[in-house]
Amino acid sequence: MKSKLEKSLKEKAYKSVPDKWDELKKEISEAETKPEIPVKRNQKINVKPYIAAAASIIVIIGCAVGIKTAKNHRIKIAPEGIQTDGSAVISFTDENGKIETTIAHKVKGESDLYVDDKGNKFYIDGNTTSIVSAESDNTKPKASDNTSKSAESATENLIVSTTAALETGLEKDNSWSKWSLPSRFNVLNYNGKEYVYTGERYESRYNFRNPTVLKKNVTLKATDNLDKEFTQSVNIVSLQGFGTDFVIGVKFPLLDYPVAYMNVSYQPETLAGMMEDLDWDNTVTYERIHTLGERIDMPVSPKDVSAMLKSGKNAPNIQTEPGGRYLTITVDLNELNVVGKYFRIYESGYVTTNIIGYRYCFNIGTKAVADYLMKSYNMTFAELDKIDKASPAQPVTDSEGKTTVPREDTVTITTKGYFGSIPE
Amino acid sequence: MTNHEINNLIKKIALGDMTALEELYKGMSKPVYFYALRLTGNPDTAEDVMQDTFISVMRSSASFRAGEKGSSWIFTIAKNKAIDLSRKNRINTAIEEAENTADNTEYINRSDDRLTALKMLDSLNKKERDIVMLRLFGDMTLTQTAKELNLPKGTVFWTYSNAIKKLGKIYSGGEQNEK
Repeated sequence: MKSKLEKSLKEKAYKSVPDKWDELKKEISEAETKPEIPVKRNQKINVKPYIAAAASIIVIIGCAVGIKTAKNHRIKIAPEGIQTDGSAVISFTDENGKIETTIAHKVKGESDLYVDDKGNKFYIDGNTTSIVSAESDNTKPKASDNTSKSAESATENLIVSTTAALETGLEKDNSWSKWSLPSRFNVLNYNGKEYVYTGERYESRYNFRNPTVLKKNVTLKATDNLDKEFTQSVNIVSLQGFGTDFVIGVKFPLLDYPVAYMNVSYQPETLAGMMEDLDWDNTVTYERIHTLGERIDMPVSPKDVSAMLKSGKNAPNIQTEPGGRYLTITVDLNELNVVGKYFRIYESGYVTTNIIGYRYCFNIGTKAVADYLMKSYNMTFAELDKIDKASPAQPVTDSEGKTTVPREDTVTITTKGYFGSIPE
Repeated sequence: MTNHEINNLIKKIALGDMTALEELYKGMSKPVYFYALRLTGNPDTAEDVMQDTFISVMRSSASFRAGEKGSSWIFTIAKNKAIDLSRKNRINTAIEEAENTADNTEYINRSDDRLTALKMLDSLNKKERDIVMLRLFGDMTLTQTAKELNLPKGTVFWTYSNAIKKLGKIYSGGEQNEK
């Protein structure tokens, strides 16, 4: 326990340090939107047509109902909004000052035009700061699809949260108002485990098929940055192929698709358990395999890798850091939009992966590994290593787009995704 | 911020949770700043280290292993950043000197508003200052501080207690004068 004096000294010292979170956030978001970072964001847009991509673009629009032209307003759009190619959830105020929430769909052939069921038009232009205008035409018939029905049920929550944005004013950076629904309610407890919404990267709205409802009407709670508490009723669903220990889906009434929430403390007991929970054979794809010095790229045979893993399927998940020579396979889990993770095969018989965030390690035995190498490449680790060392160093491009040639004594591990580097 | 909390936040960051990064930043940026300040002796560099550290935390969070101490992991990143930045900025204050014998008082002699609070450590000797900086401002545990300074835990405990007593006399005296 710290004394009053210690607390006071600490407080005084801490006051002298500037809070630079906003700068950091900006820096991170700029780094994320750099085109050279291979996050494959755009590749997610191979969407099935029925799926609406609806990151919450919460905008406040001075919209007079029934009036053809409306005022222009400068707004900010959430990064998720920029990424989406489908509909957008938009909140705006009518002439009575009442906040309305609507789902607007992107008009084909128009890069910036969204129209909702009531005929309101929204022009959304640009990346981060945009001019938005709105038109409303009440004479147009209302569409009566499921989306609009479900939208009604969730409107109340959105209105409340948007009010918070109004109170602070748009000029202030009210990040809450720009968050998507899952971002606002980003943590939930289910079966005694904590699951978190992990952002678009893991948002597999495109590929989840036939979700099965596990639990209905679960109330999520969240607090905005003004400390107001909000609730949202959702259904918890299972996602086809994935173990609920690892990931569950959350179906918000306003969204057409379940959003993936991952168990932050997921620890598979065995290799087989992890493969089953991830639906490994059907979901994991191998990008490239390379040697320790990154000088040799070789083709990967998923069949051979799968056979090797199955031969050691009962290996328990252990906390150890294997040493020695290894091969790195860059792996993706496209169903959950996870890209650029690694899977390593060690000469010492271990396999490790960080595919779901943190590192898991299994000892499948030296024989399984040696067999795999022999079967796939007709070589031993020693032979591969010899070739690797004799080969010229290959240039490596890091997550910031800088290209360097590794020194002879340097082991460089590259990953292609969001999480770019090894521990420092 | 406890190690348990830090570890959980790092796990969430590894899954792309920006709110977790923000929470970690709010809780750990200042300890990291003071840790870096002790190493570099330069408030500008310390701020850069603070920022770079959290960028690295975000990028490397995926490789954070369960069982590791989150705060130690973050301080290790900060130390590496401090070394890198100090080299880059050609600061003559070698980190090794800061860790060992050099009396790194650059921050005390500067007329920088950000250092006003730190000037209260002026009355302490180098060892006391280092210990207070890490233990109190850096939010390090006794063990972490001892390890960082390569001193026995008992020495850290005893020196820290003495330093706080010393500061207590000056600080409370100062407050009285202000009244």
